[in-house]
Amino acid sequence: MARYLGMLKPYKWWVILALLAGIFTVASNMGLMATSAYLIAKAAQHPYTILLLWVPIVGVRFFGTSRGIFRYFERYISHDVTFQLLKELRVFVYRRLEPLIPASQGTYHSGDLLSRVVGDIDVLQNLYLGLFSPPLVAVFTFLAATLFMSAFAPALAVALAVFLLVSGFVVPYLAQWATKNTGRSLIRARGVLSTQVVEITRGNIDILAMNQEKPHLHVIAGQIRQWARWRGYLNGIKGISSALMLLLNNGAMWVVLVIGITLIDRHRLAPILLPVVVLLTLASFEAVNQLPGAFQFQGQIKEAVIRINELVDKKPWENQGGVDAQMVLAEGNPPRVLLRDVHFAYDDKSLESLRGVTFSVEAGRHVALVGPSGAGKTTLSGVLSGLWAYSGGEALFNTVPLKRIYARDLPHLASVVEQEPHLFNTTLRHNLLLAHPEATPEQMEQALDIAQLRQVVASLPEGLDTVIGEQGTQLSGGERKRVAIARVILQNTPLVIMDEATEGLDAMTERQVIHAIRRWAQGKTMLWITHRLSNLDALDSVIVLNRGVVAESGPASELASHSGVFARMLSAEKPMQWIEDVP
Amino acid sequence: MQPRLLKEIQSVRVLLGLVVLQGVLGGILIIYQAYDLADIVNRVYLGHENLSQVQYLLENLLLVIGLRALLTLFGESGALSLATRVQARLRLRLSQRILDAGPMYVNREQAGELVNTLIQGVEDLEPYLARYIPQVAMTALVPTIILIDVFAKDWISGLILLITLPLIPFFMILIGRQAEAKTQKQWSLLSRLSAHFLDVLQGLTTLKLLGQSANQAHGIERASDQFRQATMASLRIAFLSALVLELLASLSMAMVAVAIGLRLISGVMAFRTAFFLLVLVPEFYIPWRALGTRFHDGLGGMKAAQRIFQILDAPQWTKAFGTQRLSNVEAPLSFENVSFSYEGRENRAVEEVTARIRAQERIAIIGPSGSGKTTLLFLLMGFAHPDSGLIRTGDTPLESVDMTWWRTQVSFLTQSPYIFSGTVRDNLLMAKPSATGQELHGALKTAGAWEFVEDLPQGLETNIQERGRRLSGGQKQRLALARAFLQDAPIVLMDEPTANLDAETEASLWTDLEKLLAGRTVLVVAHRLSTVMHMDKIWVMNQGHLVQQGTATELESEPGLYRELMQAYKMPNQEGVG
Repeated sequence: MARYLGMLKPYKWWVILALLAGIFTVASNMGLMATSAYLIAKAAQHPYTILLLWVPIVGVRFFGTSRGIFRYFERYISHDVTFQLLKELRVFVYRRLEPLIPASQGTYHSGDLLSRVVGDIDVLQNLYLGLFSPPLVAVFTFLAATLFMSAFAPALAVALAVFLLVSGFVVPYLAQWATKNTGRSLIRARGVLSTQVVEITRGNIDILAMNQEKPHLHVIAGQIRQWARWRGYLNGIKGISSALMLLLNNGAMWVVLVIGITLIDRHRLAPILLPVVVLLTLASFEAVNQLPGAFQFQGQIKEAVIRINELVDKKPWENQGGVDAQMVLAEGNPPRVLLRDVHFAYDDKSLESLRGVTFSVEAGRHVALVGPSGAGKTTLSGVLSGLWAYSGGEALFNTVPLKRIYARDLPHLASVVEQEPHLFNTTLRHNLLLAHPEATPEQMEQALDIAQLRQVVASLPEGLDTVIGEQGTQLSGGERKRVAIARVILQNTPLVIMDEATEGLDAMTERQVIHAIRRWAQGKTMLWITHRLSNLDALDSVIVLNRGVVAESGPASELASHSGVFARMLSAEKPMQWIEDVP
Repeated sequence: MQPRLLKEIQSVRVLLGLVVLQGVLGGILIIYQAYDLADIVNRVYLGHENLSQVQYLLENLLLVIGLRALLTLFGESGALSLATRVQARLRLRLSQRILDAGPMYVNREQAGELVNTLIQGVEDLEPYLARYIPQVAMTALVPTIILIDVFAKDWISGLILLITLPLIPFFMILIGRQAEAKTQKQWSLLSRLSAHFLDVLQGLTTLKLLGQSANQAHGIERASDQFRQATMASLRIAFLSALVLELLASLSMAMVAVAIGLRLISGVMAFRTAFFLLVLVPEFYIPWRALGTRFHDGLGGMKAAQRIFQILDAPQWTKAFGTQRLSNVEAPLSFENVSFSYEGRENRAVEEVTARIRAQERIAIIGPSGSGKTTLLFLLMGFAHPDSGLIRTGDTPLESVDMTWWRTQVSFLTQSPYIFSGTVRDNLLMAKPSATGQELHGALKTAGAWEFVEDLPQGLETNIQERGRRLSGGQKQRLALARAFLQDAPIVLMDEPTANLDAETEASLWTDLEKLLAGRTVLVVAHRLSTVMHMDKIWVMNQGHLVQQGTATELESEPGLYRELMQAYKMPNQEGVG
């Protein structure tokens, strides 16, 4: 937690100001109550002139005004600090995650996890307001109140101190102790409930098709009842703790009253001070009353910190670097890609996705990379684009090992149309410009043409400036794919990797897109990953990947005539054969 | 205020009444406590009485404090329980509504967002329900009681309170209105900023590939800073309303103090009354101040409530059917001028479709994406009524048929079947709750699923994780296929069941699919030529219209969309690939 509190350091003066304002707010209230009690007590002695009351009157006015103003500044500054912290947190988490993703994709890429991080950061932003400031303000006002009180009578100060401590620390601690397990059960109940709700949304079709509405609702109703039961217990504890706080606040006043009267009896306290100490006592509890909330919040913060730490403390993989894009492309030619015995495993070392891949693609050639699902095709595209570090062997662009190329330069060398490209919830134009922020209108037009996006853009309400929704939901699957293709056109790198780039397009569009891409990519080295094997003849050659190794390679026509993996897969794909299978 | 949320509270109005009553009783006790306290202080200070002389008053004071604590206990837990009950009810109704609305609604929403509204959105209602709503009632009552009492004791102080009283709501409204609008905008900006951050995180891989990931740290910093500045500008005003309230409270407190002080000097007022007023006057303003903060705390809940009621207003598409159960599914199935449009879309998803499917006929629906293929299947599943036109089974309109019965007669295989949390057995029994072990075994065998189910750690009893994560796409399809075998329905509807599979898996799945389709009426949305080849007849859809229908040979011989689509598939591809 210290590291996150440390993020407040650049704003330490603001933090101090906010704390001071917080302390003065409570102090002003104490001053207001004390001076006004003194004022009327003094007045009750019927002084011969009002001038004797001048000081308490000014005091009342001053404290009355200052309280509001201090409160205003406290709130204002502390909110500013909170937003600064939020910014620091986001940038910190992003900087830490950026090198990690997708290197640890297997475990960390799930959307649930990322949205939890965002939620955790939202909790953590209240670190100052919820956790840091209340105890500090409480401690200072505690000191101020007891010191002030001890000026009247030490016995009163002791009594006040005891009550303040009990209500500030013992009650919140007990409440937290009593609800610790319930809090966890509640989180679990919420988790189960949310799984059930996921099922009725994502599994909606299957539930209705199999008449499963009633059983599902029944389970959900049970979970809700369970949740409500835990909640009911928690509600009870909260009620008890509020009641205890009230009892202690007013109990302190009562005890101070009794002690005060005793002291007056023994002439150890001036009677005129009795109303002052009574009201001062009540006012001094203001800061302490915030503490149960802070205690409760502490649990949430702790969990958020644990989860965020788990994520950001992973060690990232880094490229050695040393060579930039210019040096790789010595003569301005597209790169020759050479792989020698490349190995790669996602998490579990025993389960390698690439088990010694060796092949070469000559500069400017267009080569298909095929194989059954799980053969390692997408892994290979991740390795070649520098997302994942291979663990053994060597991958070379021309003569330069991939690991020696600066990570920031790789996007200038290789581009990938991902299988599941991410579209951002902004305009289509912004989504495209990400690939080439300074693209000219002509370049933009060209990309739209090649990706066959013209009609799509024309059909959108605001054309290129239409916001395309979360994950691009305003577009169809095929349209999203084409946006990714247009991005790669704009990125315009000498090596292009198409990972099932045209999957999900209808046949006609697909043909047009492929035609346009191949024309555009003349003079570029291109790796075309696909699981469809027919019509590969026009490509320079085919590499067949199977279970993490190259099974065979050569021109498609040649492979088709051998009795290898390729021929077997091809025969499975021929629709004509299936017609014969039909009884 | 959310009028509909207030209506929800009707269901717990007794509890709400008790909570408010508790607040009012608490208010009266506060008055009594102030009175008692003033009495004690007066007697000791001016009457020079000693401890034993005021003992009974001290005892009373302690009693009042105890009573107040007891009331707080009930009030606090009561208010929270009130919220819990409303929340539980809303959750259940939302779940019910999601199911009643069906896939034609749910598929067009974001599943994640729906789940979030049902879980977190409902959670956010708590401060609004438990704190804000009772506070509104108490703010109306408690200060009034105090005011009456103050008037009875001293009309000048009463007048001061009365004059400041309307100023408070006046300023609250004057400043609050503007601030509220602004703050609400800021809160939505805040959540949008969170969403933006999430969006960037989720797109990190893509950003990396595009070489833009390093730049985004600055983007996030800039966006956060802009947001901070904008928010602080609006908070400056929002906090001002609190400041004005605070100043008003302190000022009138100071006015009361000075006014009674002056009258004390001249002996017009007794000290006891003066002290009583001094203790009581702050209590007059406390409910108003609390209202301000609680309003602020409840803002998130108000926003969530809007979305919650939006979902509760979703159409009950799957419910609008009759109760007729036929002895058998009657052929043919026919569409007569069927049209359907989704809310908020100009073009109809399905327009004037007329066609019929004879018993045991197999039909493939093809067409560009968005042409209405899936909508047609959904309508046949009874996930909604057509807007106009009729679907019939034999002579019976589908709208008068009991859908629970109908769906036992229709098997539905989707692109990615959902595997529910629970065991393999649980998942299979959904299709036929009464199935014996032998039947399950048989269905798995026929569906080609037995091998991998046997390999699972506990076989049939293996708990499959949420969303069937441990299973491959092909395996999930086979489980769904086993479900269909168990269901043994005369009609099978499929939405390209091989869409996400590679050629080899697809080919082997088809051999098992064929066993299911034999002797049944089949309607399949086809994305692949291979799927079309398994069917007798083809319907070609385009922009909601059924533009062509016939056998493959018939369609091949006539110009139209079909020929264009087929040419794209079949023509030797000069450019290669695909």
